[in-house]
Amino acid sequence: MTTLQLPYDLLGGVLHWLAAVLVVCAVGLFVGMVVSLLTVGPRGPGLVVDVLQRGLHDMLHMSARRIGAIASLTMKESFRKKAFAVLVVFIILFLMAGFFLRNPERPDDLPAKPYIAFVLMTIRWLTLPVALLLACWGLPTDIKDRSLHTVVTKPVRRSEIMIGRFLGYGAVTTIFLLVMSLIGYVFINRSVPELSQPQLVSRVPVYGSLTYLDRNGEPGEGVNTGDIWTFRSYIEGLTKAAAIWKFDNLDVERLKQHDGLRLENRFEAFRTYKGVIGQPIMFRITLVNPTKKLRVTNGDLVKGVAEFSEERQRSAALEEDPAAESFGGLRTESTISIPRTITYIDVSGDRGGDQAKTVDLFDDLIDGNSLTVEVTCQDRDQYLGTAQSDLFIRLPDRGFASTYFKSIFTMWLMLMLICLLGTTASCFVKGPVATLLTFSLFMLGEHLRPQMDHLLKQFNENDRQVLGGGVLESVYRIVLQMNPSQELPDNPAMTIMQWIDRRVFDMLGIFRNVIPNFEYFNTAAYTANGFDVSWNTALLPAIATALAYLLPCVLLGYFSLQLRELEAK
Amino acid sequence: MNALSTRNRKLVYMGIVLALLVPIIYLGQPPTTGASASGGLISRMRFEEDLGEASLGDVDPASTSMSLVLLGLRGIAANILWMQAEEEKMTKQWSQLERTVESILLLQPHFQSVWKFQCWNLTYNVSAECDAVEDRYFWVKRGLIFLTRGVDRNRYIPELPHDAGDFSGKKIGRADEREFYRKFFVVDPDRERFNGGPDKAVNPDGIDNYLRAREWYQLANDRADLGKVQQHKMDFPLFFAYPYRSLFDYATAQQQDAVNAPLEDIPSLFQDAQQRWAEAAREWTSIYGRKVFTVPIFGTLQIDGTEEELAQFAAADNMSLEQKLVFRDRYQNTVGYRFWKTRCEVEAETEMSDAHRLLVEGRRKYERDQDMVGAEEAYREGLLKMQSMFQKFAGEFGPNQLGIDDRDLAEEVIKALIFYRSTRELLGNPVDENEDYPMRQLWIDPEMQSQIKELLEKFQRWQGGLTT
Amino acid sequence: MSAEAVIQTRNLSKTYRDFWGRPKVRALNSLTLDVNRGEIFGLLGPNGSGKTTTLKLLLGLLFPTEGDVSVLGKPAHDVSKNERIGYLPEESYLYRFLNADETLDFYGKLFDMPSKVRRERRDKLIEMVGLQNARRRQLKEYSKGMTRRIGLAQALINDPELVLLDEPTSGLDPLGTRDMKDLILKLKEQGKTVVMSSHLLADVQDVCDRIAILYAGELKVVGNVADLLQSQDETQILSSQLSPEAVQEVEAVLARHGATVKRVSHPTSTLEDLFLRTVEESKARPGRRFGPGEGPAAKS
Repeated sequence: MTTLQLPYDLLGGVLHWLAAVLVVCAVGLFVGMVVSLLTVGPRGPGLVVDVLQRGLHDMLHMSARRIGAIASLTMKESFRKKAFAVLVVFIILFLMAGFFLRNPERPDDLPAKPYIAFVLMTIRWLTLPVALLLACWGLPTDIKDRSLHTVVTKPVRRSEIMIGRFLGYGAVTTIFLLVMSLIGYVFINRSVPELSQPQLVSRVPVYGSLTYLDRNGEPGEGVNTGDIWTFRSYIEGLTKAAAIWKFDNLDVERLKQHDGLRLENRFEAFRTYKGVIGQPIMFRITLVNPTKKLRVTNGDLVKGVAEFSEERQRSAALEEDPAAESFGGLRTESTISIPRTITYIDVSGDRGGDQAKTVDLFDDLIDGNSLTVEVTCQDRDQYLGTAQSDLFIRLPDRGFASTYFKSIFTMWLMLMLICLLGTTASCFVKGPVATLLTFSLFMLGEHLRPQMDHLLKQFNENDRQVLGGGVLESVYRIVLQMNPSQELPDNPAMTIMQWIDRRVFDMLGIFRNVIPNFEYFNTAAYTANGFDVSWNTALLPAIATALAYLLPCVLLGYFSLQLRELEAK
Repeated sequence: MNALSTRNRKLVYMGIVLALLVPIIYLGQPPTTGASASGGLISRMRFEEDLGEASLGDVDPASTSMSLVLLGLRGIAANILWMQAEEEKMTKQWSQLERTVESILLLQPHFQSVWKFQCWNLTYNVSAECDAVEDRYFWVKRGLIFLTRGVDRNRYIPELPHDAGDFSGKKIGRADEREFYRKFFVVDPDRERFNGGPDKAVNPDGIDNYLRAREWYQLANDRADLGKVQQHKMDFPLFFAYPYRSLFDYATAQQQDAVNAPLEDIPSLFQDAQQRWAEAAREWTSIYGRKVFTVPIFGTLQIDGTEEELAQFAAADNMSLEQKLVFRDRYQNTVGYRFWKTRCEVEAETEMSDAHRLLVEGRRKYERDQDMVGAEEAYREGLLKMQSMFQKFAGEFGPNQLGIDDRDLAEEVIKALIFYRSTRELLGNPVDENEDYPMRQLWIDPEMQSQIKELLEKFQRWQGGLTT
Repeated sequence: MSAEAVIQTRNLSKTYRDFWGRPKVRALNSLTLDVNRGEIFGLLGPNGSGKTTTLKLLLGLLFPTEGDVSVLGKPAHDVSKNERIGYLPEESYLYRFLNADETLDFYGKLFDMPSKVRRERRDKLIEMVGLQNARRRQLKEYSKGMTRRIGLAQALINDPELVLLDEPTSGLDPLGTRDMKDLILKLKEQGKTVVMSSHLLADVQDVCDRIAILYAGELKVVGNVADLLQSQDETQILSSQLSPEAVQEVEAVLARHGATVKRVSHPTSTLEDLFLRTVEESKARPGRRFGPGEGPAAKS
């Protein structure tokens, strides 16, 4: 895992959701009132109220049997219309996977990561169109063939049709996903080269918060060593600069069962000069208890940087051979074991001399339920790159299946959301439009959201200005070949243009609230990097996002179908 | 809609279809046999221009099918992948980067920049990011393996094997990590997997990296000679010199390796180096010097062409002999022809080889064995032989011609002199400046003073206990 | 009329609009109609006269532009009324990938019927429409007649009080038509109210108690079939084939009673006359509306 997701704020999310739903409902109601007034005159608002009452009644009188009937009809339809042909495509793709994952010279060199990423990506991109097309084309086809007319002359609530359809597509997609994920699982287990098999794990990390001391020992920031990627900050060697992780809310009792602690790091080294080529940059770990003013470190806690150890397959012998030629036999591992009892030399000095002392990790060093770990670089003029996710407590691993199927689960949630959105869209537009609409939402939510967030952040923080301006201003600048820092001429046209641009950004800011964040559903990075898909950073937001759309979509779908004349030509 | 009935409209469509089929068939008919000048115009032209997939290099079915599947979107897909590759490089996901590069290759297998750029990426950029030297070597190797495939996929492009030569020779042999890399090239650090031998993918015969580079350069020359694809990397005479120059590199490296080699291996190392120099001397003059090449403006030339030969070229190119002679000399200077010729001759001498060996032995005795008497003796003998060689090859710049031409040699001698003087000092018999010690002429040469000063300072630092 | 009205429409109008909301077609204009419990009511009219639109308005598939509908005492948009309605669409719009059993089971579920009841109803209906041998074949393999029959079966799955049949005999061969008519009459026997639309006059004449003739969205005639076809100042005697002598004798008897024989012939389908006359009349005098008993037939 290279980037760290923040824990999901469920309460905030729910409040935001409530606000969004209320606003959307209010806007919907207002628009409904206005439209009804314009079309049927003074009777209009009464009709709207009437429709809402009926809606409430229909919602409360749904029958599970009817929903089930429509869902199972939907499944039969999908299977009898040979939708499972997609599975065949999938299997063929996997048979050909060798082509895409091939490494003709050296199949054994591949780490597990590309295999996992390939499988998850393939499943994602094969099930996505299935869900999309099924959900978006089902109802419109039903309406076009008029088979739905026969159905609605039965005592079926339109909400039942919508929900039944959604559940049916959901079930079909679920079956597809299940079959594919099982094949994929077997594929991964069989194809990952033997040397890389140990990478098929599910590490359970506990992340801490990170603060820095600068080279004078003052709280501050790390240094940028010129990397474009600002993910890591660097601390200078043999100065007072330090990176300090604080791990809070530790389950100490559970940790105690393991008689020690396992830390894992993925620090990066930056050398200002080559140094001794065969030797790694060293770093020192100091365990700190600020309450007891204990600072504990010893020679065992000085380690060599093991950069990018996951980015290539090393043979086990190379890792284990302490006399391995380079690195002067210094062990560079990404995992650091901290034993329960640690002996150190007390240099705090109030008793003068060096005194060997022994402390207990859990009793003396863990302060309440938090642990503070300070990391410093041990090589003069060399730098150690650190990021918040670069040091974590590694709890006992889980099996690979656990992280794999958790990723499949979030993918399932995504597919359900696609089915839901597609079904909803198909309640008010025809198949192609519904497909386009749903897919656009997906692309917006998955790929354009970061850019959108970035723009809006700039817009909000920068006095409602975006570098280069909004839509119209950008076009203007492009046409006139003005660079973004050139001043615009001061005239009313420009003012109007910028005013419109700002409104567009305001609209974007509003619409952003209703575009699902599909990024939450892509947890492949966790699995591919051998991490557990954690509850509060990955699973919870995915579940919350999917659930958030359920009620609004059902309502929207219901009213769209209800207010739609199916027979209109 | 219009006056035509459905049937008539269909007939019109059919007519248009048939009319369009004629040019399609004329242009696009596939060849009747695998590779021949048959079939439609496109296929004939493809054969004539050697553009067929099979004639360009190894066929990769996945790549071909990939291009088909993407229909017209190949360019867009390739662009997205290039962007993705850069993103992955930025976020340091090397294995993913490699995958992405593989995918790019599926789309653009005959675009040599892909191979070059991404090989460079892996060999230089990725490897430099790693801290562990084996990891660095691993990525150097990955880049090289990658390029090897490019060489196979594109059998007429001379630049690709030339690049492979550069990576095998210069990257491995001149990096700061060269000591490790050169060793790893013959004995891969992953001993378990490669049974203590080389990684066959980069070094199938387990030879020295410079010799491997020589093979690559030779292949590049062969391809350039074929002339199907031009190389645009450098002027032809320079390009063509590389196989021979890697032999120089190899011999030099052998001599340098001796410093840290086991004592019993030293004589054989020097013998081998001497043989290589002799071989290089032969090739440099009899093959490279005789090579006839044609370049723009200057026409046909030979680096070491005689006046009669050049006169013929001059007549053919409608130039004067004087012009040709000027061009020839200019090229001789550009490629350092005379310098290397002399250097090879010097180094091929047994006396020179012995001189090098003795200086290395002296250094070992001084540094490792602390045997000052032995060291003094070895240095003196070595320097004497050196002096004799210098005298033999004295030229217009006097007795120090060799040292002036070859600063590395000068450095070697100056270092030896510093150590020699130090041994004399330690033995209680410091060198008297008026005494006629061997190679004195270099020590007092005004041209050499700045170099001497620099090396002396370095020596003093080293003696002061700093190993840098 | 004293009988309970199962369907009531008041000034029911429907205007189809185009994409921009502009009125395009006035499909139904101010229809006021009652259908009584237990009768077979026929909606008659040429293609495009508004029959199907009327049925769909009754079912709530279309929303009226003006006017009100009440079906079984409830507004048309009330889904719960559907519990007691059976509807056979013009073409059987069923799921072609289901077989007969599945089809009936599916629609049974939509009425929230427990599975035991569903099975019973299903078997009974399949037998009734005579599809025992085809119950496991997918509908896409069915002939037109079979499709109509399974369509009728699904319309009856809930044992409805009111059955709406849109062109029940269209596309059927004479035998199939006969069967269908018998089935409709059987429904009446069971006390169900049937509303059927058709442009095939013979069908309507054979089974309907009352009819309404629609033309261009307007109701032209409505009334009892017998009444509509009966001229108060004429009497028609129908007998088996008579010899010319016998005819003379009858004429003599009639003359004695002061009546004249206008025509002696074989009976024709007089509804056709009525229908054609109505249509012609409407073309000549658009907008004219005829009440029961004062149709063109009555006036001639």
